[in-house]
Amino acid sequence: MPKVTLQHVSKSFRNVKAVINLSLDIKDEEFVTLLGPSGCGKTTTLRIIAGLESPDEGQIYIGDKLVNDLPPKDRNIAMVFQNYALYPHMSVRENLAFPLKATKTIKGEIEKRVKSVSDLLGIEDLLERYPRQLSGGQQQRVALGRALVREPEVFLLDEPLSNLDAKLRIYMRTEVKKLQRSIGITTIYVTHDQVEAMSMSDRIAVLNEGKLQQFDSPQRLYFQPANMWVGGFIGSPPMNFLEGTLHIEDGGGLLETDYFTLELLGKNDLAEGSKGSFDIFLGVRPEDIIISRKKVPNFAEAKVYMAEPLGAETIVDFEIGGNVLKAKSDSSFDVDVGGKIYVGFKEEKIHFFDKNTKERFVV
Amino acid sequence: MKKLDVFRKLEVEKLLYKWYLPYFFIIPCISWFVFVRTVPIAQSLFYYSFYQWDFLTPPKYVGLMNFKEIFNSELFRTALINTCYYALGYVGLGLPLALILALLINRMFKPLKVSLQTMYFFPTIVSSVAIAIVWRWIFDPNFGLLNWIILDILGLRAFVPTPKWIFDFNTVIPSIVLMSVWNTVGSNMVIFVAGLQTIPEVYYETAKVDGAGRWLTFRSITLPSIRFTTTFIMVMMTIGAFQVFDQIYVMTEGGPGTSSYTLTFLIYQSAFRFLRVGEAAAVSLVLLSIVVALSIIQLKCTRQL
Amino acid sequence: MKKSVADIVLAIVQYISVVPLGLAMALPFAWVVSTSLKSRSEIYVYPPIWIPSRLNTENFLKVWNEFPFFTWFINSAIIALAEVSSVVLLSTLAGYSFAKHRFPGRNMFFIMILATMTVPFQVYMVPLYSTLVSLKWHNTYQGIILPSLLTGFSVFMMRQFMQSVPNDYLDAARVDGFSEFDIYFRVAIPLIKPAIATVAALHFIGSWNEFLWPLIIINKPRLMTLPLGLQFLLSKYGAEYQGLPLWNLIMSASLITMLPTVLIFIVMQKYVIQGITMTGLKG
Repeated sequence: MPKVTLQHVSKSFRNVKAVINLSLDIKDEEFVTLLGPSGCGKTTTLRIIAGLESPDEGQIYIGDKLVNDLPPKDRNIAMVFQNYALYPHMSVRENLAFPLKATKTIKGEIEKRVKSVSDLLGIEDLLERYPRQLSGGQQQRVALGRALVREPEVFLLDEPLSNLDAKLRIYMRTEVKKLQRSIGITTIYVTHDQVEAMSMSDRIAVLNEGKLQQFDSPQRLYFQPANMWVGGFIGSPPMNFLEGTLHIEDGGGLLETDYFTLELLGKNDLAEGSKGSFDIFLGVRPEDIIISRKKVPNFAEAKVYMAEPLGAETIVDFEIGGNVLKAKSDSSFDVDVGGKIYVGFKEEKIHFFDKNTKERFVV
Repeated sequence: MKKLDVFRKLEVEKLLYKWYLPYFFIIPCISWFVFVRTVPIAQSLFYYSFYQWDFLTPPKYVGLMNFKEIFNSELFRTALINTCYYALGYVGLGLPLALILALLINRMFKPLKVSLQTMYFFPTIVSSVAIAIVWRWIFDPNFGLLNWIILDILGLRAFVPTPKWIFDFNTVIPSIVLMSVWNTVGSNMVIFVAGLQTIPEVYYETAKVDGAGRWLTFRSITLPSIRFTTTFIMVMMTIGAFQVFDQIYVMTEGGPGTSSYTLTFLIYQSAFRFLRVGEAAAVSLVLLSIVVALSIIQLKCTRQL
Repeated sequence: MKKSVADIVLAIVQYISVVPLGLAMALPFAWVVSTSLKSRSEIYVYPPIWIPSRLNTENFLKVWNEFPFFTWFINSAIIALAEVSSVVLLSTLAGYSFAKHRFPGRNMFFIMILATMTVPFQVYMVPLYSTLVSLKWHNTYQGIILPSLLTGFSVFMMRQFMQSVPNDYLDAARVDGFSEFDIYFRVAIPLIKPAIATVAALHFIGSWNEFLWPLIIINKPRLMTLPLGLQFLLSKYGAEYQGLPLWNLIMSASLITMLPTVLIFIVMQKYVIQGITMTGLKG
C-alpha cells in the first residue's frame, strides 16, 4: 500500500502555475526525491504534502487517509526546512523537546524521546549547547532530530544540505541515507542537485515548470530518459543532442544528419519489422562517444574545439558542423585545438527522441 | 473543490489557521484606532468645525461661520504668522546644524563618536516641560546664564544691548527656536549619521581616485545619497514645528502679548479658555491642511531634484 | 595615505569645533544640577554662582514634602508602566498578524493606521476629550492612558520586525501543532526581543514626558503627572517667594523628573538610538 499518494494535484500562485496535474505514488519506507531546477514546483509540492499550502485541485493521501482538509499537525508528518529553523534562544535539548510541547506530551515521555533521538543522531554531547555554538553539520543534525522527535509517518526535507560546504554535504548525504534506512521511515526529499538525488534516492520524481517529467529509479532515469529534457538534465557533463532523420528498414537503417550519416546495425532497441523515415533528435552521453585519430568506418568527422583535463579523464569539446558536443576520453588524449578527429557513437547507447514531442521515440 | 475558490480569491490560508483567527490579533488594535483616532478626527473635521459649542450648552449649527470668524480674527492671523515664522527658523537652523554635526562626528573613531552621540542626544529624552522651565531661567535677562555668557564671558556687553529673549516680542520666537533646536538636534543628527553610514565607502574611494576635491565630493556624492534622509527630517521637523505647544504654554503663554501665540496654542485656548470649541476645530482643520500641504510640497520638490 | 596640510587643518577644526558644541549641550544640565543645590539667597545673584557654598541637598526633600511630588512621581510611574505594557502587547499582536497572516482587509487596515499617524494630535484632542468626559473618565488614570495605549509608529515598527522573522520558524511550529497564539508568543516574540526593548524604551520616555493630553484631562493636583507638576511649581501657586519663582526648588524637581528617562537612556542606549535611527531609515 502506498504511503503517500498524490492524484492530479495542481496549484497556482497568482498567474504562475507552480504545480500542474501531478500524480505520484510513494511507497512505504521509500526514499523519494523531488528533483528539478528552481521554480519547477518541487518545494511547492512538498509544502502541499505537508499541509502548508492547499492545492487548487487534486487529492493527497497519507496512508489511505484523504488529508486535503487536515492541517499539518494532524497529518503525522515532520519537516526539515532549508534554514534549519533552530530557535537561537533555546539550547539543543530545548529545541529537540519543543515540538512535543505542542501536543502537551508529559515530561517523562519528552525526555525519553529526546534521548533516543540524540543518541540516534550522535548529538548527545551537544544537548546543553546553543545553536550559535554549533557547526553547520551539527545544526543540521539537530534539525533532523527536531523533526524525528515526533515519530512521524512521513519525513519531509526541503534542501536540507544546501547550506553546507561541498565536502560536508557529500558526507552528510550518506549519513542521511543511513539514517533513513535504519529508521525505515518514508522520506520525501527536495533538491536541485541531481548528483545528490541520484546518490540518495530509491526513486526520483523529476519536475520541470510544474510538470512531472519522469518518476523512476536513478538507473532508469539515466539510461532510459523519458524525454529530451530529462536526458539533458540528468548526467554531467550533459547529454549531447543533434537533429536528424531516422530511416528504418528491417531491424537496421540509417541515421542521417546534416553533417554525417551513420549506419545502424540493429543494436538499438527499435521495434523489429518496422519501417519508415522519422524526424528525430538523437541524444548521446559523453561517455558513449569514442574518439579516434584515424578514420574509422561509421565514424563522423569532427574538429577539436577545446579540452577540459580533469585528471582521471579529459572532456573533449568537439565541433561538428557548427555544433559543439562533449565527449569523455581518458587522460592520454593530446589536446590540439582545431585538429581533426573522428567520433563514433555507441549505437546501443544512442537515445532517440521524437522531433516534435521531444518524448522518447518509439515506433 | 469549488469552495476553495472563495478562499483563494481572498488569499486566506485555510489549513494553517481558521479564517477568523487573525482578527483576534488585530481587533484590539483596530478598535482602539477607530475609537481614539479615526472617530475623533472625523468629528473634529466634519462635525465640530461647523458647530458652535462651549461644552456646557448644546451645540448649535453655524455652518461656515467658524471659519469666517477665524479668518477675520487678528489672533488667528498672528498665530498663523508666528507659527510659520517659528517653523522656518526651526527647520532652517535645525536641519543644517544636525547635518553639519553628523558630518563632523561621522568620521571620528568609534568610542569618541559614540560618547558624542550620547551627549548630543541627551536633551531629546528629557521632558520638554523640564527643558522649557530650565531655559526660562537661562533666558532671564538679568540673572540668566545666557546673558551672562554673552555679555560678560564673551565680553560683548559694550557692543550689544541686553537681549531680552522670551520677554521681548521681537526675540521671543527666535529664542524658542534656539531652545527647540538645542532640544532636538541630537536626534536629527543621529538619523543623519545613520544615513551617512549607508553610503558605500566605494563611492568615496572612486571619487578620490578620480581626483575629486572635498567640496565636489560632498556636493555630488554625499548630498544626493542622503536625499531621502534629508527629506524625511525636513518633513518631520516641519510637522513637529507646527505642533509646538509645551514650550509655549510653559514659558510664554503666548506672550509677550500675543507675539508667541501659535496655532496649537490657539486651539487649546479656543477650546478650553475661551470655550469656543467650534473655532478650535476650525483652526485644527487649517492646521491639518497646512501640515499635509507642506508635506506634499516638500516631497514633490525633492523628488524632482 | 598622504595627508595634505588641508587635511590636517580640517581634522583639527573638526575635533575642536566639536567641543564647544558638546559644551553647549551639556551646560544647561550642569546648570540644573548647580541651581538645584543652591540656597534661596544664591539664586537671584549676578554674576551667577556655579558652585554653591554648601550642597543644599535638602532642596530635594523640600520639594518632596511641601508639594505632592511623591504622588506625581507615582502617577507618572504607574501611567508609564501601563502605557508601555499596553503598547508592547497590542503592537506585537497586531504587528505579527499584519506581517504573517493573510486575511481580507489586511492592507486596508494597515493603511488606515498609517494614515492616522499623519494627523497632528491637536486636531482630534478636543472631540476625544469631550467623549472621555461624557464617560466620566476625566481625572482618572484610564482617561490619561487611553490615548496612549498604542501608536501607529509602534504598530508599523512591530510589523517590520515581525516580517524579518523567517517563515520557516513559524511553519516548523505549525507542523509541530502549535496554535497561532503559541507561535506568536513562544516563537516570534523571543526572536524579536531587541525590537521590544527598543519600542519599550522609546515609549517609556514618551510616556514619562507627556504633557498636553494630561493637561487637558486632569485638573486635580493629586492626579497630576510630573510634567504637569513641574509646570504647577512654576505657577504662582507653586514654589515661589515674594512673587519670584524659587528656581532652586524648581530645578531640584526638574532634576528628579529627568532622572528616570536618563537612567533608561543610559541602560537602553543602544535600543533608543537604534529606534530613532529606524524612523529615519524607514521613512
